[in-house]
Amino acid sequence: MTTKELAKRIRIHAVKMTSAGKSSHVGSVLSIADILAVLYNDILKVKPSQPDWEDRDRFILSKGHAGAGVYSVLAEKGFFSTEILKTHYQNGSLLSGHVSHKGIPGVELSTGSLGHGLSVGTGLALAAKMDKKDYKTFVLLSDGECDEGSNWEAILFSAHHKLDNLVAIIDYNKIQSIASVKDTLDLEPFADKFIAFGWDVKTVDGHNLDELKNALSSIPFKKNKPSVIIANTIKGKGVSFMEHTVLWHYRSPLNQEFEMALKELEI
Amino acid sequence: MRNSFFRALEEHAQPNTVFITGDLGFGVINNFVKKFPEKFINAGVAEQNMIGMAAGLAMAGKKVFAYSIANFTTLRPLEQIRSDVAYHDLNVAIVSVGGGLAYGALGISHHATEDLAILRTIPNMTVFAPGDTVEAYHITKKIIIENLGPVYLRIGRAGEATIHTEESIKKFELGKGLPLIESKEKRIALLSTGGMLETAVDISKRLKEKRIESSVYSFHTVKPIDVDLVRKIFREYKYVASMEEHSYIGGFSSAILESLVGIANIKLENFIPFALPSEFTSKVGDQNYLRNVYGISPEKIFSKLYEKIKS
Repeated sequence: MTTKELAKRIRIHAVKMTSAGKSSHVGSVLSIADILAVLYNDILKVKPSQPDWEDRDRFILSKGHAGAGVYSVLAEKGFFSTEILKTHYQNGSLLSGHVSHKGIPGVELSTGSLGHGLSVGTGLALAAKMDKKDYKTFVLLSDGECDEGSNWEAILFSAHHKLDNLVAIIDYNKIQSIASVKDTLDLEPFADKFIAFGWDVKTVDGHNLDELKNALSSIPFKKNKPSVIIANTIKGKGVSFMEHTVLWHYRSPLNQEFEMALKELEI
Repeated sequence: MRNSFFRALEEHAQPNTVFITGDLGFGVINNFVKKFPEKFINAGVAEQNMIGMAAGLAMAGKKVFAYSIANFTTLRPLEQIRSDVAYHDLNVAIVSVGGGLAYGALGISHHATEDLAILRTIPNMTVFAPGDTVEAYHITKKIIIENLGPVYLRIGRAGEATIHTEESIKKFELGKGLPLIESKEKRIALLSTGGMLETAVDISKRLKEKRIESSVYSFHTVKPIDVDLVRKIFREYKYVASMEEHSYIGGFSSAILESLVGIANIKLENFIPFALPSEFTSKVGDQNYLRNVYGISPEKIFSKLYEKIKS
C-alpha cells in the first residue's frame, strides 16, 4: 500500500469511527493522518507480528484524543483486524476514545491527559542510550499540548542528556480546544524556543509526504541533540468543511455531514 | 531509614536497577553514585518528568527507584504515577523520604500527611511504610530482588530507632503484619505503621508499668493490608489501637476499618485510632514537638489510651 493510500484509509476510518461512536476529535485525527502514514509505512522499525520486539522503534501518541488515528494505522498495518475499528467508543470495546494500550497490540503508551508522552519517550530514549540500543523514540504532540509545563521539563532534560535518539513531532494546526493557539497561549517564536532549549528543529508541511519522509529519515538532525519536527498542519485536513475549524474538534460527523465527508475523502 | 534504604540499594542493585532523584539527597547518595555512576540520574527539580521518565525506563526493562521528599514524589506528579506508572503496571518504586512530620520546622510544604491515602487508592499500587531501619532495609531489598512494582515506599528521614532484633525480623514477610511483642493477655493490641513503631513500643512499656500487658504489631505494608491478621486481632483482643503519622482520613486506620466490613462480633467502640486531624499542620517545631501538638506523641497517646482501658 502506498503511503498516500494509507493516509487516505486512516482518514476514512477516522470519519467512520467518530460517526459510529458519536465521538469527538475527528479534526485532530485528520490533522495527523499523513504523519502517521509516513511513520508507519516508511520510518518505524516495527513488526506487526511481534509488537513487543525488543529493538523496535517506539511511537507514542501524546495527543491521546487522536487515538482513532493510531488504532486505524495499526489495524491497516496488520497489528490487529480492521474489523475491531467498528467497535470504537462502543460499550464493551477495547478501543477507548483516548488511546489505550490495554489489549491493543502496538500501542506503546495510553495517553489522554496531555503532557505525558514526551517524558515517557525521554525515559525510553534514555534506556536505549544506557543499553546501547539503536532504536529511536518518536513522540507526536499537539500544539495546544505544549502549554503543559511537563513537556518543557522533558525538553530541558533530553537536551542536557544529549538524547539524539528522541524525536518530537508537533502537529502544529494552530487550533486548540476553544480558540486558536495564537489567542490562547501563543507559542511563537516556536522553533526558537526549541533551539534555545538545545534541540535541533526542522519545520515541514505536515501534509507533504516527501517533506515528512525526508525529515523523519534524517534523525538525528544533529549528533547529540534531540530533534523536533514542527509540522504545519491543517486541522480537519481532507474534509473541506472540517478544515481550520474549532467545531470539528468536538463534533461527530452524522447523516449528511458523514456522507459528504466520506465522499470527499474517497475521491 | 534513609541510610538503610541506600544501604540496601547499594548492596543489592541489579544490572537493571536505576535510581532517579528530583535533585535531592545531598550527602546521602554519595556512596551509591560513587559505586554505580551509570545507574544514577538527577532529573533536576522536575518531578513530573522524573516520574514520566521512570515509566519509560521501566517499559524498556529497568527497575526504577524515583526518589524525593514525600510531597514532591507524590502530589506533584500524581497523574504520572496513576496514568503512566500504575496503569501500565510498571516496575517503578516511588520513594518518599520524610513521610509524615519528619521535616518538622521546615513547614507545611514538607509535611506528608495524605500520601498513604492517595497512593492507596491507585490500582496496581502496593504501599509500604516501614516501621524502623531494619524494615526499611528489608523492604528495599525485596523490591529489588523480587522486581516489585509499581510500589510506593514511604520512609522516614534520619535518626529513626532500630526496633527490630535479628530474631524479630525473621518473621518479616511482605504484605503481612509483623508481631513485635505478643502478650498472653489479650487485653490490648497496638497496631502501628511507619515511623510510629517506636511510639507503639514506648506505649507498650508505659502500659506495662501500669501492669497492663499489650501486643505490638508493625504493619509495614499498608496496601494490601493484612486483612486476616487485622480480623484475628479484632476477634482476640478486647481493645485495639492504631498509630500512624498521617491524616485520619484514608490512611492506616481506614484500611483497618475496611478490613472489618461485614465481619460479625467486632466491637468497633473498642477501636482507638491515633492519627493526625484533617488540618494543616502549620505550627512550627520539630517532629516530636509537632506529634505532641497534633495528638500522636507517646504522652498524648498514652494518656488517652490509659483512660479508655484502665478499668
